[in-house]
Amino acid sequence: MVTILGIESSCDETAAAVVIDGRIIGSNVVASQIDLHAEFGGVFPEVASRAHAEAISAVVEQAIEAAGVGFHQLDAIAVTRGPGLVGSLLVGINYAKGVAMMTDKPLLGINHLEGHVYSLWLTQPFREVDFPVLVLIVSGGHTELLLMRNHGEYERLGGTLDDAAGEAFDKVGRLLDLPFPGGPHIERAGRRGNVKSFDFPRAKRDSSYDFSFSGLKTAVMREVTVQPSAATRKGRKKGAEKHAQLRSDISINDVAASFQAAVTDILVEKAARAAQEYGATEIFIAGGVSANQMLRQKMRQETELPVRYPPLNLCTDNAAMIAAAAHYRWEMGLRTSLSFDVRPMWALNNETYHDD
Amino acid sequence: MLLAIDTATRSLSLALHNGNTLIAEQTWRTGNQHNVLLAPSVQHMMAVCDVTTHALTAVAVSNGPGSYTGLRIGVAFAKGIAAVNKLPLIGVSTLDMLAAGQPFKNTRYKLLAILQAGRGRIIAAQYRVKKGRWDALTNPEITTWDDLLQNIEGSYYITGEVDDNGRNAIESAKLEAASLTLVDPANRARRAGFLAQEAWRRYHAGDEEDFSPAKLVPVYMNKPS
Repeated sequence: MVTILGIESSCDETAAAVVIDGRIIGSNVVASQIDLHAEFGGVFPEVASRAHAEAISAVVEQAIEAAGVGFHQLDAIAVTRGPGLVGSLLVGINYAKGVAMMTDKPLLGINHLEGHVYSLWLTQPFREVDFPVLVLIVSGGHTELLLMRNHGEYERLGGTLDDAAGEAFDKVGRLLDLPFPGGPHIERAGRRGNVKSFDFPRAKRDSSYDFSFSGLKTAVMREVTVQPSAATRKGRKKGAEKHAQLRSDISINDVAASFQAAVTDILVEKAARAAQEYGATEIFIAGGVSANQMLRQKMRQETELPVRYPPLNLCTDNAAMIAAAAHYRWEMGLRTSLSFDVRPMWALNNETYHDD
Repeated sequence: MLLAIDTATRSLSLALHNGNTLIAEQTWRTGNQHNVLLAPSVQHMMAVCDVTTHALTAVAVSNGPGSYTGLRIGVAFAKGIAAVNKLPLIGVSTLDMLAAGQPFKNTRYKLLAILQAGRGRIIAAQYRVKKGRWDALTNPEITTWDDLLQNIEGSYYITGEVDDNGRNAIESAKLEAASLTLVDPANRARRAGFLAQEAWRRYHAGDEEDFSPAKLVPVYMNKPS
């Protein structure tokens, strides 16, 4: 039996979890900062870092207590090393280094995206995985399409060229005056709207497996806001969507539904096509946007392959997925030294742990 | 045995103190390498001094003001260390730590403790001798050398992070008859031995202060920006 403590602080959730054998969740604690960031309509890095530094002790202690283990009974300490916000990552990393030094247990610096992949191994009841599988990671910070050939073997097929899918949800949510984070609120509004009201563009409808969502956001803005006069346009700055005035004759529900349809169409189309091209046995969807019901439903309709997604509480950032990924890395022999540095732009592919 | 950690600015300082004796102390300028150097340096210092992790009974950390990232590296690492064996974590103001290291040859002198705050600004607090040690007279404030030196009266020792701007400002102020004495470089360095000493004093002061790690929050001086 291998018991691993996972710690995650790459963005706006302070999280800790104890996972046994990479499959059984002993505890899973997440302190969300949503309320702190709501007033900015997005994650404010310095606010996030401060909140992590404040919350980390209580979150980890609660995870240890709820799992009914002591720090000295752990087999390894795993922590998110990147990608993510530097200031946020450093809090979890240094806390983990302190725990690893005091317990004299191995420390593993884990890739956050790989964590999302392994959230799929935490679904109950456990089902064996027959590789290769196609993995679509869609969250506020990432949109990645990967072919996973085995544990730890990833071929990156494509990803977003600009905004992440979840980022598009947040930005359009702000345009529509919906609360942060945009995803769940757009989904709720969209349920009462017509997906065909607006024909928003499906960008990068080409043979590549890359995505682009910033044009879609602009198209929504053009459709739903009062067009600024030439004079005001001159002084316009980046992020102006926050201050754009919403047209009064527009149905927010219809915009939400149509926008959601555009995002999910392109995600589903490319994922299904890639799965077929590479002979995948299953399609895995992970990350915050994988909670979206329209995405799940369309994916099931578009492909005859089984589609897996994590339970809702494991779609968004959590530490159970970090501990689960660490279990497989632990078995592969990964041990990260106490001097390890943060990797804010760390890609997930076959070279991810090359230098470790 | 108390482990003391200071990563508040560009220098890194560590110490081991057993209540009676300073067992080890190291202080050096690291630039922005705290995250890489801190954990292995602590481990190495404990190893060469033959101090086991089980021998640690308390942890002290400078909890600001200072560089936001630097502070969080030290505070997060200290919290992780304290969590494992449920050790008390004692946070000490970075400026109090600095003041604790200063001699007072002349008790009529007050003390100015200085940190760099970037973009030509400094963080300063005043201290005076009270009951045989430096006691804070003002809260830390963000200011500039010129503003600081124009608004003080009397005789001062000046310690901490004094750059060329500071040296020039002090020289000009001296010409205007202010009584300013720049402390020697070794005393100006922020040394964790004094952090350890100050932490011991507070921990044993008998106040009902809560030293659980979850209670410790760095002092930032500014709202997030």
